[in-house]
Amino acid sequence: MLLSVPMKGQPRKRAFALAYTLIVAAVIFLFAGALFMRATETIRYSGIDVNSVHATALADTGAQLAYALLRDHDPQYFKTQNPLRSIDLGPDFAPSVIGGTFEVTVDDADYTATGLYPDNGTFYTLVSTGRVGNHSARSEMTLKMTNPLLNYLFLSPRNLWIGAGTTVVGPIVVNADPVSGEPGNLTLSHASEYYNGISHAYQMDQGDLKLDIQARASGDIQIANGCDHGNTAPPLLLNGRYPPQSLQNQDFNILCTWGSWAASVIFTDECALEAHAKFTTKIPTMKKLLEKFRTGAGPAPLDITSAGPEGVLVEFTNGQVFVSQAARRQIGRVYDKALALDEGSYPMSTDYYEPYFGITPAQAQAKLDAEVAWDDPGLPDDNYPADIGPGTGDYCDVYRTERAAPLASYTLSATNWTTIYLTTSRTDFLSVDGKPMGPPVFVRGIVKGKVMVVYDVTDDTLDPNEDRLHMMILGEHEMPADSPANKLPTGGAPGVVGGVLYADRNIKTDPDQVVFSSDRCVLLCRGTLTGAGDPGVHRGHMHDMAGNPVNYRQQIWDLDAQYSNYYTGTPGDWDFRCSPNWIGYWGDGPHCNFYGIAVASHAGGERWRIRSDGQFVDARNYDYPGGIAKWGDMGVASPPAGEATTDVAIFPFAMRRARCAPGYSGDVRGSFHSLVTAYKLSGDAHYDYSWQALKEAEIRTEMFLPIQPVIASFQRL
Amino acid sequence: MKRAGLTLVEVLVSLFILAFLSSALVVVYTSMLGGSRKTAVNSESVAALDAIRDCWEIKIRDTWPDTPAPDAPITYPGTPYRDYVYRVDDLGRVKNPLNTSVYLEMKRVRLQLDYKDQDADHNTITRTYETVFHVVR
Repeated sequence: MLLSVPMKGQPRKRAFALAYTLIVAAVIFLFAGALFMRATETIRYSGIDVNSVHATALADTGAQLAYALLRDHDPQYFKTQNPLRSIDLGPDFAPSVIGGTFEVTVDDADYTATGLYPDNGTFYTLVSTGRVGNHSARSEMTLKMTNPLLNYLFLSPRNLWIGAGTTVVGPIVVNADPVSGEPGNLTLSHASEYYNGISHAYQMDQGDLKLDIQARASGDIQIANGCDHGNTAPPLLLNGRYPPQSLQNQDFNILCTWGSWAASVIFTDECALEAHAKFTTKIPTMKKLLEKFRTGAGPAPLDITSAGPEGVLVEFTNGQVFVSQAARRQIGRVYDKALALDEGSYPMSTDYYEPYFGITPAQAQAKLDAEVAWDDPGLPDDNYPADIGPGTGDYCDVYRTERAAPLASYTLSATNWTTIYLTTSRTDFLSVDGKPMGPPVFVRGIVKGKVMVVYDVTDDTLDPNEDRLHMMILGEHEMPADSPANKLPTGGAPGVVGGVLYADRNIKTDPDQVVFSSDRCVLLCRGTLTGAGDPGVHRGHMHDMAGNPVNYRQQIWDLDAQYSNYYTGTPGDWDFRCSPNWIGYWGDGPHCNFYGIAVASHAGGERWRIRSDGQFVDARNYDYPGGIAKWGDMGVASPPAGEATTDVAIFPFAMRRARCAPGYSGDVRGSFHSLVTAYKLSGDAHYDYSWQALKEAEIRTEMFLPIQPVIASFQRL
Repeated sequence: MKRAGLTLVEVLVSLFILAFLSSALVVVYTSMLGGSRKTAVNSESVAALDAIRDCWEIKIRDTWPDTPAPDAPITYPGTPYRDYVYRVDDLGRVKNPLNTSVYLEMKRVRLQLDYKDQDADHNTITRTYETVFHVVR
């Protein structure tokens, strides 16, 4: 009842006013509630406008600028200017240019002691605040102060290709091409192919690929069948867990034409792949790596110019380093007919010839005989030794690298680094093919302690393209006959071990591993770095200097076993093997194990060319390449009568390789970096995680390497 | 007989007050609604600007272009940002503020985002957001 009328004598009622008030109040509350809700939303959204975006951008700019200055200018600059304010940075960072201001504070307190950061290096915290009008935003970076090369298995400036039959463990970063800017792809290939010069066709290579990697690429991470010339991939099996990526494969499900072999790509549970990473990890330039050595802040240089084109031998043994002039000693000859006899014991030549040329065994043998009978104009002639004679044929000399005049020696420490800085003031020694070079440096032995070997020129003009200096891990054990006057090992040790190993071979291949070696080795060459040595194959019927037949291949194998037995108690440890344990037409190079970190400007491809006068380490597809063996490739003017100009010549090919050959394969326990050139991986590679624990001070003051921050985390707060 | 109810004046005043309050609330609410809708539209554009900035940051870090940005606006049909056009006006290098004789591995990028909006007369117009950010390689 809205209009009630009180009866006479009754108390006056205000029912109308009460109801009316309640209704008005309800309406007001209803409207006000809706209004407040909407207003709250409005206020919330009104905080996100273009100024907030811009404040965030400025906070990011401050953080990135500080990161760039720490990395490219001076990692210690903040000690003189902290906080860093944009208004103090000149016209490029004036408020009118960047639309606001930023302020950056760097905190270099070592929080590893309090457990905030993991105890595997030195970390800085960087906080940047951006301001635009009334808006402000914060960005925070955690920077690991280190040298990036020490923190990754591979830090590639371009596309990185990891091939079949390989085990890879460790963190990997593939950056964009610094020249073209093209994103760098990481390609994991379970199948690839090579050109067979005999059949003149591409043939497939395949195998399991085992990956325990943490890979980051600026481009794609791909699983690819690397066969581009019609070969079908084998059935591919993907095992393990992996994140969704741009996996590419031309034909996973097409059966292999070689039979029922299957190739697997096996991801472990630790495998993590990240394509198109936001931050790239910049690779330091060779110039920057050598800066302290150049300015005298590092050790005094050891000039090896006088070693000439024979180079020097750097050998590790018994906790010492011996630097000597290298010598080349001829140990025998390989005659073309002897090679044929050796091949006869292992009839791979006829095995190849028969199917590919579609000929009978007798015709294949006739083809071999024709090649032996051919007088190769590129090789000298001599009468055959009695055991293979009579007659005259081509031959090539076989050499070994051994120690000559000593240049210096060092005693290694288990705690402090010993850094050996080799320099040359001449890079105009001519190689066999007339290319200028400095004295080559051969490195081998067992490292006990911490050592770093650096090879540089005294002036950049001596090596403008960073390709004239060559360092090689020598895949040759010291033989009993080598360096007889001053044989280095003592105490019953057989000699200096080929490859570079640690005395304590406990490599930290898992971040959680507790017991690991404290031995360390870094090889840093401003040119190229590869493996090299005396190949074991094609040596079954060699002749020594007295003309007696020698099974040199067996000698090398026996030496492998002898070294392994001495150091491990078993004859078959792979780490002591310098020669493939099989005989094959293609695998005619040494096997080179390497423990430590190797850094060079170039690796692989056409830049991988190393030669010294009289012995050479060549490259695939270069001069007398493995895998492609055409007459034309060998520069032979007149092939054997009756042979097509494109036919393969096994014997001339093999004989030209009967010197110091490039490493055919090798295993890395540490890391391997090419600063300029993209490269492909052949051989197992295990990162040594103990390198990640090096502190900033040790890297800076003992190794004389530049400190360069790596972004460990980035957050917008 | 004396009536005990509200007088006509009281009723009229009450109705007036009620009408005033209601009108005020409706006006305020409507304007807030319009404003918040406007904010929502803007915030979508702001979010797009933010996202595009991140995309460009990654893109520039990867490709590190050494040529000027294209003059024509860049469009990406088929993406969540298909309603927008944006351009990069400045890919210039930045000098090291601590040593102005060298450049930093840093680029300054001016990003504009054009987006469609409506004016008070419901005409479709193009508005522009702009921000400046830097990329380190």
